[in-house]
Amino acid sequence: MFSTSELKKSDEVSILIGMANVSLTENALTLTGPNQKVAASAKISGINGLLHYRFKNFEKISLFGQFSFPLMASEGTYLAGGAGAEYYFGETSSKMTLNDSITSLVMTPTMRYFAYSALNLAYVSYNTLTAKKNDTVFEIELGGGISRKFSKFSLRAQAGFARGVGVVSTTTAMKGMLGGIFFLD
Amino acid sequence: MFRPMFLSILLLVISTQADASKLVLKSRPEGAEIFIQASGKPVKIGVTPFEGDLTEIIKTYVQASSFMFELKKEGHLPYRVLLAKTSQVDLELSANLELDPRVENVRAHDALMNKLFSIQKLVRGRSFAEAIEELSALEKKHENLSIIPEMKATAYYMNKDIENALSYYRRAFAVNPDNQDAYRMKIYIEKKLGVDSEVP
Repeated sequence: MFSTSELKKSDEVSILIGMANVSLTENALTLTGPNQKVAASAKISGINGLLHYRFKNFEKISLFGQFSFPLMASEGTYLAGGAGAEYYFGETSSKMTLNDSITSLVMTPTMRYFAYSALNLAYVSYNTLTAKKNDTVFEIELGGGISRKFSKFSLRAQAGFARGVGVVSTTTAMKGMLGGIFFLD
Repeated sequence: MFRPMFLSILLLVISTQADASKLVLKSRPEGAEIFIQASGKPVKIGVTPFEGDLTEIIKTYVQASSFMFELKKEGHLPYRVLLAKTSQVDLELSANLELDPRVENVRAHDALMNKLFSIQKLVRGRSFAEAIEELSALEKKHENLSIIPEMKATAYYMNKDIENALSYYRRAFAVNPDNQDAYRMKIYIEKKLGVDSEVP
């Protein structure tokens, strides 16, 4: 006999792909120089990849690191990396395993719903009418998602909203991602 | 573009939501009976290896907040695992069933008998040194068996080492005073050597 405290919770790596739409507005007060008198706004829209690593798992909460990178961008570039926490609403938040000389037990959640928040540091490169510019942005992201286990693989889908403040601009980002989960037993 | 994609993801996930949770139960050796017990009597649900619908099993048999799976196979100790009632989880359990100590004991005795027969063959083939070496190893593991020092004494006797033979017949008799063969040989050699009978 054993208790659930002996069960080991699996770390997870997810690779996702989806859309990232970033709206950016320059802050007029921060503009300097002879050619930069008018605050511009810009949009970055493209297909981004997301590498997501869940490295610490508690009963309902997991901590993660993430890195979002552009795969195909029509205008500009959005690159972001950060860390955050996920809260799971169901009974089982992680894949759990127990292995000893007598028992091998694996419990894999089939359906999970979660909400997350993260702090990111993002790099944005955007085009205005007159110039190509870039900025570094500190971003707060909120979102939610769902993960689903199928017979041979597990999928993760998530959507999030991020608000960022940079050196010369403020950003608003909408992200929607879908990808596979790899359990690190 | 963003909105249709998000809706597609949502639809994909929701459309598969009704799938059941999977239960896989295995045991080594296979063929163990599987019982589920929540409250009341255990109910047999199958034999290992088993694959079933965990959601359905829980719905049918479990009303309490926890339940127990028990695996039973003849000659092995029952295996039990207590689980919290849960849904939306695939469960894979594999158990190595432990041998019942009684069966294990019989197997150990059987192995010892086989070993003694093979040593007897060595003695008959006049490989005395090898036989004595193997008997010495066995003697360390089975100190309370008189048959081992008796066979060792016989090997010494056939190898014409009368003094060692007497020593081991005496040990065999000391370990088990009901061992008549050891007793007779002890008396015989003592008379032959003209030594006093040693009372253990």
